[in-house]
Amino acid sequence: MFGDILAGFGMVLAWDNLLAAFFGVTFGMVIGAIPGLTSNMAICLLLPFTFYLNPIAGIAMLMGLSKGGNFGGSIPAILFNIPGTPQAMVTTLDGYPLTQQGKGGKALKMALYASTMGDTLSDLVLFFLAAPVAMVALKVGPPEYTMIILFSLVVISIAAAEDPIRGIFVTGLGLLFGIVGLDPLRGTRRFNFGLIELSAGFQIMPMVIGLLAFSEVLRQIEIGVGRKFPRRPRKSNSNQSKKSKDPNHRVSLSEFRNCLPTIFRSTGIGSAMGAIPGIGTTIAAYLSYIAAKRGSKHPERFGKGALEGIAACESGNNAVVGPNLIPLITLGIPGNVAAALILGGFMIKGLTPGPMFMQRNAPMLYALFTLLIVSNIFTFLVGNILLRYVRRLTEMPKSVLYPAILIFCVLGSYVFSSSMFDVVTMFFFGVLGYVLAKLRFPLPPIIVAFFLGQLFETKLRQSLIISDGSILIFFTRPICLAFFVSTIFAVIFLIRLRRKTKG
Amino acid sequence: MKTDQKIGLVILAFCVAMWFFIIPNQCGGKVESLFPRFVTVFMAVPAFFLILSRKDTSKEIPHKALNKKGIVLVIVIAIMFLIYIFMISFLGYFVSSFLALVAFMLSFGERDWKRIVFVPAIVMLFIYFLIHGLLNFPFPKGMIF
Repeated sequence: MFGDILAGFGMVLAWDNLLAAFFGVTFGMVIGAIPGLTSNMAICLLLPFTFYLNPIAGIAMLMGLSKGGNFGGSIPAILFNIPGTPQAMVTTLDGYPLTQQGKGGKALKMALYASTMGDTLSDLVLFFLAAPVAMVALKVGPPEYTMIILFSLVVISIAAAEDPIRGIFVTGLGLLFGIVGLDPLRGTRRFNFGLIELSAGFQIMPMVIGLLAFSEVLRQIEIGVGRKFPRRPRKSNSNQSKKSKDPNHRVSLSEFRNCLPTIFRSTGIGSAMGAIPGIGTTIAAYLSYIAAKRGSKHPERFGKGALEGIAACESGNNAVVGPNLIPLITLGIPGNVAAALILGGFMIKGLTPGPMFMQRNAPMLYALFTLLIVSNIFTFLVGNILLRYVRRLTEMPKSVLYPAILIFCVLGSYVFSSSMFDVVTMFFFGVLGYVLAKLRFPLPPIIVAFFLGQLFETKLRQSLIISDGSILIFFTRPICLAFFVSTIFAVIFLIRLRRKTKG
Repeated sequence: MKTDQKIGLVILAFCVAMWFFIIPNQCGGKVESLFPRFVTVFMAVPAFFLILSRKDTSKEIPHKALNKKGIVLVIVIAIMFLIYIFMISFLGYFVSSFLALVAFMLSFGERDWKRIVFVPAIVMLFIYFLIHGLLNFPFPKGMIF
């Protein structure tokens, strides 16, 4: 193994490999920062160009796109409450409140540090634990998936809302939106009410943009009535230099140290989720957030601008990227859409991932793993430069900012699948989000439940087919039982935590 | 009747409609309707708790949330937004978005004419060159552009 690692290091130090990784990270970050343009879209666009690159450079560029896109999505999430990518939705919970407090720069910096640290640590997991972790991932079947998702749904509905009753209702609402479209096993249409556009169900990005960004603009319009939106003050150069040292735009050493346990915990959660195909970055981000809130000395700060909250979700969702390669490389199973596209990249180069892949191509794989770690350095450097300029967008007067956000809501919804129906959907969810927020219902559980609902139904029905309709299958398999017990403990713990906080 | 009780009743009425009318009309058989019925029960349970709730949450809503002028402006902006979406199919994405941005900025109280002209132009140029030009993404076309 160490001979292969050393051979891999030697292959990394070629200018085309490093340049490809740098370009991938930068392009991914810019695309991820534009709502509606996900890193998956960026991978699709650049996949044909990998034909002209050597295998390591091509795959490194695609992985760089995924990494850059993951961080890029957090930029509009923090500054404007518009997640650039679905997984950045969790970052809005504490990122946007910090921007409203004038600490957008601090939130962005913490997102950058947590992202790169979580990503780097999880790449080390990939480096050393790929083979054994793959064996565990192979044991996860439909019953285990069902219990993992049930655990996620229950924890999210109770922990993510001030009022658990409201949290459970909006989780149900998200599941309800998820059943629109096609029956996942039979393929028959249901709940589309004769609309062809709803045959494939609601799309995730218009829903996210509507619920979080559009509804937020409507709320700000209502709150801002009667006040003149302030004009942007003229700044002198001396003010500019002072801004870079402003504590509201920096993360101090003590603040970073306080978030380190959260980053390590969230990296562990993200790596575990990444190694299991199909779970994805959004779930990892949310579970990391809930775990951080549970373990924090000040859980009441979460949702109001807690740096730990940002650290948790950013390190959690970025930690998925590297381990997502484990089922891909060792078993030939892509863990998510990005991994499926990267599988395409491998096949373009004549490489077929699978059980023998690691043994036949070990030096090349270790070179790729090393480039993943180098890509994190690029993410850190490019991110630092980009953040200096994007933070200034929040200094725009509201009379310019909110109209621009409305236009970008349309753009983000339309470009996802080139459909004006998605724009109308975004508007519907925006109005719904505004009404629900006024009635004090939380919005993020709707999105997570929607995301999970289709997978939950599929795995639940598959499990019942395997067991001939018996629900005992969920209590006789070890991993299922472990998650069922974890669900009960989590519910008890969260209810007790809530009572302690209220008391 | 308190706010939570009203909300609970509305949700419960919706769940009843789902169970007896919508699911039988929209789902093919017992197996296909299993999960939708599970979701309906999942939503009905909190509705019951809201009806039984003794809390009066209307007192917890801050006064700003009952801002009638604000709500009127929200409705106006929502109607303007719908008109904007409708106009995209006639004027094309770029022209209608430019006009919409000008209209929204005026609604939000912007009166500096340089900003009203240049900001929409810069935003549209940015979208045109980055997404339409570089990424070759097609936008709806209209009568003018």
